[in-house]
Amino acid sequence: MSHAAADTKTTITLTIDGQTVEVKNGTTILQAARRVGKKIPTLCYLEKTHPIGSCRVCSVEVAGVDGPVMSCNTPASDGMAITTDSEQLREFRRNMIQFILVNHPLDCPVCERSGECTLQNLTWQMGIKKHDWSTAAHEKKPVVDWGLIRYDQNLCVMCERCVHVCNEVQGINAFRVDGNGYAAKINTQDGKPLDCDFCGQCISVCPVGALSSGMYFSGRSWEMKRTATICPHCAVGCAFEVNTKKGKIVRITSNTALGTNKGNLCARGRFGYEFVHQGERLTAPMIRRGHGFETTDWDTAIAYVAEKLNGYRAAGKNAFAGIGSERATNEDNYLFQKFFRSALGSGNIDNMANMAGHDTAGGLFEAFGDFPMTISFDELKQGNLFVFIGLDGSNENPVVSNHIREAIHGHGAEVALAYSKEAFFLPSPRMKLTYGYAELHEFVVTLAGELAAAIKSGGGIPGGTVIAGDFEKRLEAELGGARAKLDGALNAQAAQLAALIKKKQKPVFLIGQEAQRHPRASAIVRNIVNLAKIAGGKVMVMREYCNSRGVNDMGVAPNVLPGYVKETRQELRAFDDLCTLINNHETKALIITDEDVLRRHADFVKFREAMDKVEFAVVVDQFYSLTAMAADVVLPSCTSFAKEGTFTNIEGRIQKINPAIEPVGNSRTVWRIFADIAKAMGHDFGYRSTADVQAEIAAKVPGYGAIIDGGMADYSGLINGSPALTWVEPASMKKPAPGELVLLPEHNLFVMGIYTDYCPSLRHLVGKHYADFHVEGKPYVDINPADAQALGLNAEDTVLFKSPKREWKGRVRMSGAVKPGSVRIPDEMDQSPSVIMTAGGREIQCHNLLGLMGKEKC
Amino acid sequence: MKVLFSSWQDVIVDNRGKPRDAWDDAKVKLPETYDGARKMTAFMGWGGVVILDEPFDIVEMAANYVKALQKSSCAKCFPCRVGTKVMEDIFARIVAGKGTAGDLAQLEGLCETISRNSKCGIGQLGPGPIVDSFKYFKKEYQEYVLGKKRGPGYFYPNKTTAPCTAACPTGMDIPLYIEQIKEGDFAGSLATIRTASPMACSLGRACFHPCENNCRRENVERSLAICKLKRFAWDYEDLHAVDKPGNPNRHTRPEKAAVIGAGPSGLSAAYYLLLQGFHVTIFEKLPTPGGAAWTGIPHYRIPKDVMMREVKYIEDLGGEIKYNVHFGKDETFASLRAKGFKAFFVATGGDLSKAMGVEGEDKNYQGVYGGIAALKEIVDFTIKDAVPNASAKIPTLAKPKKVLVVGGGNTAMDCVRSWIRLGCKDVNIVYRRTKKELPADPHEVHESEDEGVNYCFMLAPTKLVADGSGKVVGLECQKMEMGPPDESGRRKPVPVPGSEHLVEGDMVISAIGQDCDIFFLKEVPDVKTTKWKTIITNEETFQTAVPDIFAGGDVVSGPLNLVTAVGHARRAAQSMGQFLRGETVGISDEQRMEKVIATIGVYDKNEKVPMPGGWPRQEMPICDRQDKIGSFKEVELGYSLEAAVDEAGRCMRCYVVGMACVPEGASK
Repeated sequence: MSHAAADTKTTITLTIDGQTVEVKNGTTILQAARRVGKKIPTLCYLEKTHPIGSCRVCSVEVAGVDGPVMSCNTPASDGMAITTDSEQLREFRRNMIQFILVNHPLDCPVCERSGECTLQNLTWQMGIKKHDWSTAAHEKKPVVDWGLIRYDQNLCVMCERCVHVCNEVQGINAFRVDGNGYAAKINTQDGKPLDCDFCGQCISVCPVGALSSGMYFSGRSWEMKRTATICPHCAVGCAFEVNTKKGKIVRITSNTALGTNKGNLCARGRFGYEFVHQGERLTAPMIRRGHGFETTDWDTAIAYVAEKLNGYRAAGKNAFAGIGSERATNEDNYLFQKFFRSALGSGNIDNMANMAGHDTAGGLFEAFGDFPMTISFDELKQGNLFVFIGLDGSNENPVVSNHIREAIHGHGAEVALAYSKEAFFLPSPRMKLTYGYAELHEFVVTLAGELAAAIKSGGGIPGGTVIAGDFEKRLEAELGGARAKLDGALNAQAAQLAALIKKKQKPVFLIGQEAQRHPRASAIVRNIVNLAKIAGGKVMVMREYCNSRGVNDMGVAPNVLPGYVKETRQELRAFDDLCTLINNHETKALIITDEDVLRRHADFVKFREAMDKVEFAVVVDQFYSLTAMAADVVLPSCTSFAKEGTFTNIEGRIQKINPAIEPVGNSRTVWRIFADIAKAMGHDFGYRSTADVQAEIAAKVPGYGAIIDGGMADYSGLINGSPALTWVEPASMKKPAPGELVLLPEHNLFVMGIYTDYCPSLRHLVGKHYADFHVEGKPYVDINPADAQALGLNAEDTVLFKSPKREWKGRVRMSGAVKPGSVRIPDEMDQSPSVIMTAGGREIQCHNLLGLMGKEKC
Repeated sequence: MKVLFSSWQDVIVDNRGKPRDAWDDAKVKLPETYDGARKMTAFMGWGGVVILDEPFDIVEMAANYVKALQKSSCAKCFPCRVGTKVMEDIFARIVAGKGTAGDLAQLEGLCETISRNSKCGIGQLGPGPIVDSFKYFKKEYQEYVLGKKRGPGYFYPNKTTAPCTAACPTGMDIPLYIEQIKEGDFAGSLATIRTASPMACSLGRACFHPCENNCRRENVERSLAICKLKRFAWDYEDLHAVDKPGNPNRHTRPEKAAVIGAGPSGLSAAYYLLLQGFHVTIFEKLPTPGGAAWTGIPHYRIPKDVMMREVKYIEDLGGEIKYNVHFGKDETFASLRAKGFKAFFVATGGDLSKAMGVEGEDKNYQGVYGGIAALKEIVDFTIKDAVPNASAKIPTLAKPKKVLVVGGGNTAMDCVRSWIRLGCKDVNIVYRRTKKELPADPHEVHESEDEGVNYCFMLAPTKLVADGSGKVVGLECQKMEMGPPDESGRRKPVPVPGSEHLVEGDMVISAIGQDCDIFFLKEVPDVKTTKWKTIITNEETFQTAVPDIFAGGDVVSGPLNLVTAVGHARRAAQSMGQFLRGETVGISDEQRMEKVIATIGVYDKNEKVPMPGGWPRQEMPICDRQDKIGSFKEVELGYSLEAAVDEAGRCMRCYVVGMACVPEGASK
């Protein structure tokens, strides 16, 4: 119970330039004025942060108040009479801009912002031709050691937008106002070179050219064509604008009016486009002749592939196997599976979302058809409590964390982080829980047990499932053992988190890669779903690639047809089946689409063997990847920047992509390639455009009507809505023996497979941001000081890592954030299941649980 | 006060050209000297210009004032950041004899634009005295512009403050920490608070917040919830997984300092000494820390488990607390000096309940308590499970049928509200004046009435009455009535003869104030004390007549409040640091200016602030009524994040600059 607010009216009435306006209590004068179309000039104002109030340009007159009032940070109140324009106001506003123009360099002809500069526009609008004020100018050197961000103090107007957006929206809080008075500038918090996530939000909100991209940039705003499309990287599916000049991408800009991301992007989205025009792109089909490849034209290549595939048809459906793509569009993947199922008569297809880890990530609907694993970002933002499990929110799908910060600043939502090491998140989370990776399942069980206990002693949660029946029995039976595996502190924290969940209710659980790729992911994810049901909450499964969701929706899986219609003639079950089929010489032809399987797959050796054994391998790819090198035919696909289609993001939102450029070289859209091969094999699907494919998907795939106009995929038909709790037996797991270590490859925000290899700026960041990562080619490996001591290791000692894939050296770094019993390495170094670490003459067996398949035999 | 000229708060007093004995009085009040020795001849600030006497140079002073504005400008709004710089440059020209008439016109325009449009007091109020100087000292400016005059180079000490800051005994930068909350930088906000006080938890819950009584937002609609926002900043750190700032100077110096008393003053002094690198040991008589904040403030206002974490932070920074050491008995100055302690901070507080001075008080009747002793027992009782360090001997609290608490201050409030929570149905305040005169926080009075406390006004105790077994049965009281007005026009209550009657009660608590127990000073007779048994120190440095002994808090001020005690400690720790490093013990010019500014006063409750009202203060949510009666759960629940940010948004950042003219020049 709280005291009633002084003013409990929910709406207030005021007049703006004589016009009566009714607005919600708490609305600022500026927001009220904008509601009725009044144009009050602003410079520092940003919708997504609290009012800054530095520019003083948005002044208005309020009846009864002597002097101008800033409309951006003054709440409207009942009965107020506002004047938004007068000679006096114009004079004041002009003066504010004139203050900025004191010594502002007239670099407009060479300034990147020219043409889209707020200062330029306001100066023009206000008709400022000259001013009398001056002070001595001292030219400052631009800051160039801030990674991808360049800061020119001479151009800076000190509006503080960058400071606020970095803190409130991005949660990094990298900047501050350094100094007083006229000499003040924007600086990093510690004055050292910028070490941030390089999301570039600061560039996007800079009203002038003070903050700009440090990337090579050629073009001015009026020369550029802007095409709205969807980011090709992670599964958040941020919308952005591709700026092209003369058919080439020159930059990516955000637009607050587009998509669900409100102008927020991460480093990958904003800077990860350079791969598109790299010289290493595949531009023509290639056919293996002897030991090398020969470039050829499409007709020849299509005919060759069609002939070879037709030749294997007699060997039956197991003669074929295919891997679809988490990066290709729904249309591409739909065609890929249609090609397999109708032209080749084989359902032996799968995708890396299902294969790379275990048996749940892709098949979540298959496994949990009783629970909506989709939650829209709008719904997410209403959340009161966000529980991250196995999720490093600043490295995985970072824009989701921006949405969560909106909920934190908007209505005081809280965050609890559970991760295998101390993870970073700002504003400070309510709780940080660190579990040992091998005990993640036990942690989740303990959390469920604590929640059950809290409910037993203090009443149930409205809207939550009552714990009963078999689940209750199993939970009771397992709880003691699970608790015993956790240390006392984590047990106590689990109880605290359960109490927090009970108090806040309706939590949103966010499941990260670490949980999805755990050997016991099925049981872990299932129990998180149980937790959500008990607490009346929701679950969001974080996915790695732009179409990780769509590839399964489109039925690029052995056990489901498009729209999760059960495939009863199930053939392939998992990756190991595929390898087995190939090794048994049953599979003759392997077709891989837009996936560098050899690079991504943990079991590099096994898959490499399989690729060598298969008679005919077709790889559709954008680059001459490790996988492409092992192919017999390589067909060049175009990037998402050059094609039409749709991606389905983690919300289940189907979003249209639009071509901003022509395909590079002779690269083509994936669906067209397979339609052409099918036609050459005698199956003419008859599509003339992407719209034709979409029409077919809309008609044939349950829940995908929205593919025509965009919108959320409708999974309601797939979900039976049962509130029942289900116990899933955890898979058996090889655990490190005493003296052995858990190896945890760490994800890096700037690493996105082969794309990073061909994005010089991002590659630079991998080195720059983790400058200490790559010194002398020896990346740091993080070990708990206690383990290091037991192994006789000191900081900076060199250790040798050896796996069937490679051999490399790392340097020891002590980190208290790392749980004892584990060693963390950069994931681009090695993801093999088993690695030998040689330290001080001793060989230590390290088990990569993260990359291991769900089944030990693999 | 007689001054040569004043435009302070738009009241013009111009005595120029008049013989000194014909000078008119100005309402403004200022010290005549800057530091007790050097003459202060002029003051420039938010209210205008005051010229106390010759010699002065208004143009040079204005130039320096603008320079100070530019230096204080936080750079967070365009007009102040750039405008005061442009002004500074023009003034530099004028003072150098290179100014023009056009410069003066431009300055006037700039003053108008800057003051009308700036974000905070620096820009809004800073140009005010400059405009006054143009208006009333035209001749002086013309002399400069005509090249007839150059600046004499006087000394212009100045200080940036704010009404709230100036009213805070710790001098906390309140607008900054509020702004940091507004901007979502909660860790930064707490760091700002900690530069003035490490006790954000206790102060944010139980400060009497003079800042809020000096808040300019009150002139618009209602003062800011400054105190509760402080609590928010601390709670945020406490409730979230935040790495608290460490102590980079931890034990980097060899000197050892002893702090006597682990109350708010002692803990604060320890904190600031630790940050300077010294080794600090706190000697505490009780088994628990917090002093009066622990024993005197009940659990429902400051939960002791929460306060424990506040104290632990000071230990984490390198401080050591030795409990159950009764200074003067278990240790002495001599014994600690022998152990190598080089400086002492005496912060023993005032924990002896004052006697009511009524008949029967010396008889040790059962059921009669001193206010502080009674509260301490309650605290021990209520926290026995929560805090491991609490007194091992848990008292068995008497369950009285009817409680009489004599007094009307905050201690009396704490007593009655505590016994309500213990389940007593008949709890009474006996106070000799009316409700209007109650010295307690009105909010506390309101809450206590809500909880069912009965007030007996205009009643003065005369005698404790006991039964044959020595158990108290009541209090003989006299009715009071308002007497005739005295010389000052105030009416005092006087007893009504023959109105003595028995007010029944089986527990009587005397909560009319406390005394200090300073018996341990016998050992150091040079340390001067007052007749009220408080220690006399240098007012600026808190050093006593014995150089290695410093003192602060209630033992210096007499029982007062938390925040004054913390303010003493902050200053004393600075002095002790100087002493321990072998430097001269003294205060800075800025700190001297604090005193000058305190005399003139920053807050003007009659000022008309050009700001629209209607932004209501965020109320603090409180616990359910059933939790207030019969339980010691914390009553105030703390702000939610959005409430705190919204409340912080109301702050107008009323920073101002005050500047003195000292013709004799800076101290060497």
